[in-house]
Amino acid sequence: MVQTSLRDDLIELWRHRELLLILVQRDLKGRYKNSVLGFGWSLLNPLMQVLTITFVIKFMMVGKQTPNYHAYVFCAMLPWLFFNTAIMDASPSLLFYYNLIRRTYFPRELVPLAAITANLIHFLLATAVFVAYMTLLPLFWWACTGQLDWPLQPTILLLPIPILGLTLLTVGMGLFISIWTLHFEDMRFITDSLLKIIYWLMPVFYFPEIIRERLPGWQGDVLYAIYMLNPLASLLTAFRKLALKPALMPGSSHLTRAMGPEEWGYLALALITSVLIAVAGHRYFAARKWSLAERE
Amino acid sequence: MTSPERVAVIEARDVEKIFHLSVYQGSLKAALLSGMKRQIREVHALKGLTTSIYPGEAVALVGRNGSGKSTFLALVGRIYLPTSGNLRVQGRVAPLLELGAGFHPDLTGRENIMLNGVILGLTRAQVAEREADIIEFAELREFVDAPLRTFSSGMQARLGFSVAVHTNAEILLVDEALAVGDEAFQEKCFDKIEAFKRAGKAILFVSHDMTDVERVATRALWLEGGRLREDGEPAGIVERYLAEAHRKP
Repeated sequence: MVQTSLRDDLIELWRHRELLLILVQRDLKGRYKNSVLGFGWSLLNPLMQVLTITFVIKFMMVGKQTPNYHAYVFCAMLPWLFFNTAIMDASPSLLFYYNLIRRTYFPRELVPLAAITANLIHFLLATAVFVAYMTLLPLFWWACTGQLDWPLQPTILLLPIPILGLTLLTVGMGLFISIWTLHFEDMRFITDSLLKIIYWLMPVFYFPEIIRERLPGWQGDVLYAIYMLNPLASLLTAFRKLALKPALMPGSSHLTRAMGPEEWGYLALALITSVLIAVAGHRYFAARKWSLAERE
Repeated sequence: MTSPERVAVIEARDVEKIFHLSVYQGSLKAALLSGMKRQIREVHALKGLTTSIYPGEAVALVGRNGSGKSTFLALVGRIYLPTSGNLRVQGRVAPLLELGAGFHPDLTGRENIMLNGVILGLTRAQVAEREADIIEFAELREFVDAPLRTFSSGMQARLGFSVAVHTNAEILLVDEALAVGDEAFQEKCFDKIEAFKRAGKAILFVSHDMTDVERVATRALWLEGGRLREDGEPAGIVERYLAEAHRKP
């Protein structure tokens, strides 16, 4: 095993930045090559999921309806889908490029990184569309009803913080999973199954505060803290809290919490965890990248 | 043969390569069945190779299957690292990619030139600059904007050769396909290779075609069982190698 330093590997990656660009381009072009809607699918896919969830939850909800419920689902769905698809693409990426890995030298990290970067670009574009939509929607209602209900928060400008954390987390996990999938192709299906379960555990169509609501007292506080130790749950929650004003929780008479000291604390913790996972992913990958081509 | 006043582009000192191949690789079921114990099979591909290769040389690696020829080529190309010993490679290396290795069937010929050129170490600007020459040499003008999957294997091979020789690599690595395409194109390939030698670049190639070896090589390395058996004039080595191959088939 040869261990190279993070600094040397970053310099080597920078020297091959043009190849990263080409691989990302190839991914972006190849993905929707033969589809009519093209990039539209990156928006339509989350949109359909959000509408279905909104419809079902609103139908089941008793009591007061959550205003703009779909906006809160959307806001967590976009970063979730980024994580989900980036991991699913990074997982078999080394297998797809194995032909090239066996025959030429280039920093091997480029392969999973390109898969993640292509998804990051889709995610950023979709987020921009979401923000534009959240600006136009209240204006539309204002023109129709004369009431202005502005859900966007000024803290939306701080979204790059959780986006950075989420990207690091995804890179770290992607580096691990791409190696595992190369050695055990079953990992692709295991990853797929796990992601489907994780989806239900993540605060995408509910709010984590529901834990404290259903379990008052210290037990709820402890469970909430454990839940928020998961960097992904914490980042999705921060994403929602930074972008939108507190929501009335479905089936409850309480609002979700705004970004306060506790929320910033959880975000900081998630950032630290994400950095640690990214560094661990790099170390794991770096120790194995030179033997990638040594399979039969 | 080797002029001592020049600096070697490839310098190998006791280069050894041992592959540790896990037997279960590929499926989790197999791994679980073998109790997660890694059954490692060792393959000693190179057992200490020492040689220097100089600019302007065309070195043929000859030897039977499993003698370590391709392993040495891959080590020079930094596909993997030597287990022990020292391997110093000076300058940019361009491997002549096997048919389709660096290509994507859904992208056009032009897009594949960009992809392949950048993989071989050019910048996008440099590829764009050479694009016309690459297309011209490969004789693919009217097809270059069609998807690669519509290309015949000969057209793909011509494109691959053309991209590789248009990079400004100091060392060209070729595994098996020294000249590609039809008779006329093969002659163009040989001309290009001669030009490469005259330009003071080094070519390291593996071939089982002894006519190619005698035609192109300025020097031959005969590998046997991961060791260097002979190093010298291609004609003599080819003769002795063939004589031995015919004696014990």
